[in-house]
Amino acid sequence: MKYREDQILDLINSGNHEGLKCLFDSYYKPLCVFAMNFLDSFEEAEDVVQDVFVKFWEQFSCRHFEGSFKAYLFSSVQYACVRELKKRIKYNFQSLECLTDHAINTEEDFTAEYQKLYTELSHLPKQCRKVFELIVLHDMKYKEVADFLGISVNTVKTHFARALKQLRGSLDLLVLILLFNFS
Amino acid sequence: MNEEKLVDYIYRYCKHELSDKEYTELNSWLEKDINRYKFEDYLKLYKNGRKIGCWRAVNETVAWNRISDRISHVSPVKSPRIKFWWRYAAVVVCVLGIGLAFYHLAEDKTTDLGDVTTQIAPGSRKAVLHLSNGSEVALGNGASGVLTEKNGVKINYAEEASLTYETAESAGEEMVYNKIVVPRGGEYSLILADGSEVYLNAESELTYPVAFKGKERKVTLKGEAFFKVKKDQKHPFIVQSNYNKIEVVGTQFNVSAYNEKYIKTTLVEGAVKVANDKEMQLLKPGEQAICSSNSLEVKNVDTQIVIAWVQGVFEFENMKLKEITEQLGRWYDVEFVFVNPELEEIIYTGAVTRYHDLGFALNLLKELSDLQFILEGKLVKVVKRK
Repeated sequence: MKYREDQILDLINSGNHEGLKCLFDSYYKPLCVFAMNFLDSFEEAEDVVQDVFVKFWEQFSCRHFEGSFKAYLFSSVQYACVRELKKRIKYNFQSLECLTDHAINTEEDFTAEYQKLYTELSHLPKQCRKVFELIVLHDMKYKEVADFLGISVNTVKTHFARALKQLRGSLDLLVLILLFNFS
Repeated sequence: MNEEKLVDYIYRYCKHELSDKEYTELNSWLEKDINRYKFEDYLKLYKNGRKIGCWRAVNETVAWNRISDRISHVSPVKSPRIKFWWRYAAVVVCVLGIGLAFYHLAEDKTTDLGDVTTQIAPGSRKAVLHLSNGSEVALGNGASGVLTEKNGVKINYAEEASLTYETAESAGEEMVYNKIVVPRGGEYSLILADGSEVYLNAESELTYPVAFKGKERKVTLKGEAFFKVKKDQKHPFIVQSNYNKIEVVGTQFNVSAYNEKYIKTTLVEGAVKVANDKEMQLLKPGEQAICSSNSLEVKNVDTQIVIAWVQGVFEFENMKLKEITEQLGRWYDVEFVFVNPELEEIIYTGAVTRYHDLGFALNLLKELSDLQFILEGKLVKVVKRK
């Protein structure tokens, strides 16, 4: 059921889970995708976003909230991701990686993008395609892919590089890049 | 760099697995434009692919069930219904260089700076050293030199370095003490005779022997300091603040003793014993002891937040504006006055560099809630907007 923001606010303030579910339905997946800007792991991205939702509930199920839900949630996820990163990384190419604004792509957007990717992938040699899918779409690491396919890690790296090289040459995917506003 | 190596580097860069050497290599390779374009293209391809993968992989039903379970066990924290906004504003990310550089991500909004001037400069390295004979030496502002204490100990001080104590072979048996006083708007660091490092925050004082003799290495602290104590099991290092006594063997910890009534000791690494006159606790890394004259509690904290100041960052998690302004006041050497006292209760989570002027930090706070700051000399009034 689609609620207005003030209705959602009422639900949340009165401790009704339905309110949080509304926010979840609208923002959970976009927030996970957003967290992928920082974390490069589906599981970690989901963990961070789930923590944010839980903390949000802890704070606001009995306290007044003001402002934009979207802005709050995206900001919290960003803050949580950066804190995670501070624990681990010592480097970042900030000048080349301007962090995105909080654009939300719809289900249709993603489906269209996946179609394009799928089409391009079908032009790749079989192993290259498999390797690409396992690493990029199935969140597997080099070693896991190597074990899964029964090949060496070095072979995985070679196939992966070949896949990216070929994909880079495709016009359709350059458009894909633009749509995601990743600049 | 061939394709394969580049793709491997990009993959491991995204997973934060590059070594310092590899990072440096990549960095210099990226100085050429055509290399950068290649890097960007591959990076975008990879990242967008990952986003598509994430979108497809997420199972909302499972995720909601997890969240639902967790919130069903939550008893909400009861607190008065106070109006406030939640949005973080600026975050600092560490960038590797051999010297660390900080990168800012501030929300790109124009706000009027009308009521807050940008003239309040941040704090800087300055302090006053009190020698045993009562004379005072000003530290910071380019001052540098070498002093000698009456027992022969040499003291080096210079602009960008810590105040350093070098034990002379001939140092006598007498205990000679120095005191370093860091004013509001200042910070300083020193290396004691045993090699232990001390980082002092604004409005702090440390009294210590110029050479350690006897079975203990004892110092007295007012204010806040971060200690990196050199290991020496035969000679425990003691930090005394009022009735709070910390005993260490070799370790890293932060002491916040601004509030006379309770003193917080946070352990980053190693082990410490914290005691008041009545009881004693042994801390593990990640724990914080809160000590008053008649109680001693221990809790778990995020040590990164507690010691962020040592790295040049104000960091606060669920902190009341009252406490935030106390910290800002010490560093910028201004006093905050709350015209509307309920504003003291507004809670923020965020981080901001210490090295911008006060206007920068205040603008961030302003954006997050209905208030404004009015500067009058060294007083900053906090009032409700509208």
